[in-house]
Amino acid sequence: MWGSRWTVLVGRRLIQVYAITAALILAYPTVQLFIVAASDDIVFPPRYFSFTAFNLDKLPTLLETMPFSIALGLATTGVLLALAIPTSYATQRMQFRGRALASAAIFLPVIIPGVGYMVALGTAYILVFPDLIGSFAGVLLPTVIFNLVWMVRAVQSSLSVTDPAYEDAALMLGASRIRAFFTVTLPAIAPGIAVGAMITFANSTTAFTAPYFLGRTTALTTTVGIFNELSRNSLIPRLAAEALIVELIVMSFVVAAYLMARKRFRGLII
Amino acid sequence: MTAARPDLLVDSPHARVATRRLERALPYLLVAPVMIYIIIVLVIPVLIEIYYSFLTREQGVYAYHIVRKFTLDNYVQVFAQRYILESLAFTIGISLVIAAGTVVLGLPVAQFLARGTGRGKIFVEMSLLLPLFGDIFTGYALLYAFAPQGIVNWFLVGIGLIREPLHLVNQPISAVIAMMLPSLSVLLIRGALARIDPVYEEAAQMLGANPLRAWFATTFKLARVGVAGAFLLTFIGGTGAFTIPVILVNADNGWISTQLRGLFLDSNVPLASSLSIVLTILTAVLVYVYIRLTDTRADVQRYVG
Repeated sequence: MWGSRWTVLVGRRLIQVYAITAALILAYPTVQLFIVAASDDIVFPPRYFSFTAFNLDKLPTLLETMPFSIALGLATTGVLLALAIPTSYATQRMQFRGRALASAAIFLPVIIPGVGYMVALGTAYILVFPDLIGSFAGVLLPTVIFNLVWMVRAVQSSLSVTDPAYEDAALMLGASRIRAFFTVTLPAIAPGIAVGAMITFANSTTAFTAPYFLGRTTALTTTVGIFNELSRNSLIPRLAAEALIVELIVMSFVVAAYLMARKRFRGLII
Repeated sequence: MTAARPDLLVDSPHARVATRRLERALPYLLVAPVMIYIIIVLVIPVLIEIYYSFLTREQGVYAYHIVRKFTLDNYVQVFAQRYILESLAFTIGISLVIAAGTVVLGLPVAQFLARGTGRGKIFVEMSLLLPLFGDIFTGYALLYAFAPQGIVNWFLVGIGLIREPLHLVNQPISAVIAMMLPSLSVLLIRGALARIDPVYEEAAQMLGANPLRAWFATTFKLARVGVAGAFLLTFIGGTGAFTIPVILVNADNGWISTQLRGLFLDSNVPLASSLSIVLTILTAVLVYVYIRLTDTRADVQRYVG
């Protein structure tokens, strides 16, 4: 029995060490980008340190594409907030014919492979709206579709843990449905909405597939800009500095969301 | 959910009918914007894609053009063209390797998160969320790590496993390693393991099983549906992968998604459309299997009777 207990303790400790090592490996890519950017050299171990790679004047791709990335992130988040909150409310709180169909339709983007969808949308653009190729709207439309599930799931999970009795009480006391929603339900589900908005912002700011397919040279996110620079110049240290700056901006949003509502975030992922 | 509002009790019959109509129409009004958006931006393009998958591509004087002649030849081509079949087989094979590797490597991490005690849980949990939102940065960083002058070759040469640096970049192995890094799958397996009462494992140990055997015979066996779900979801992700293979290997990496893009750029829209539809059907079937596997009601029926 003592032998068995000792084995369990050692096993647990080994699993703990393994898990922490795995976490360190997962966190390493950011460290790797920092090492390359801060040494302005791709050789490991770094031979010297220099922050010249962070000189914004020497990061033209970042300066050119960052405004588009941020604008895409903000626009996608705004459109999704307007679309997802009413839909989530209806599918989560109301009984109506076609509810299952509406819920299933939201998951359609998961079934269609991203590149297959880009072929479909690219064909539709060429046939009907050729001006959308290489435009902001042309990239925004599919980016909203790609992130729809995340936002709806975030709002739905928040609604599912909010008791509808409070809204019912407000209605019983004479509030209109709109007033009851805005004064009672909306504040209660605000953390879930914030989490969904931050995930959507992070995803759409770093979007790759849609701008790579439909952005041409005029509507590119930073991630595609870095890739194009990689194709032209091979593996140069400057790219690490650009990727690191974008990653830090995006990750600060994700970490903020996680710290704000850890429990809701966990339910959202699983 | 219709609550009785005091102001409605004194309203006229007309007002009551109007309110009731509005109440009945409200859910439809709320879901209408998203449904219209999905129909215009997703459903109609996919219908156009289905239509184009049945059209014929003919050689013109200067270039290929598409004629409105119905044909099933594009679907035949998907299964007859050697390079497409090879690419499909490569994608499915490599996705199986990625899914199996991800689950095997992720199981101990999931076990630690579900049952483990001690420090480091929050750090592990947060690190798992990083690739979910920044896998593209992982791709860029691994380019440097896998380079001949990078940390991986430095380490392998340092411990004496190799003499000359390996050329890992531009090889499928680099994408496989990147996609095997534990992430979403671990969180899914953690969820499955956490639902199993540890009392079964303790009982098995009390009856003489060693800890590893007790874990496999009880916790793993009861959580196998969740583990299978994680495997399937990783497999689906692998078959549809585009970004990581393009960054770590190149724009012509053998993945089926890259072939699809190549066909589209080559103006072979009918064949690209039919291949896309075949892939969509394959993914839909896998998603359906996943939903059935992870359906909690089915779980209850399976275990309770």
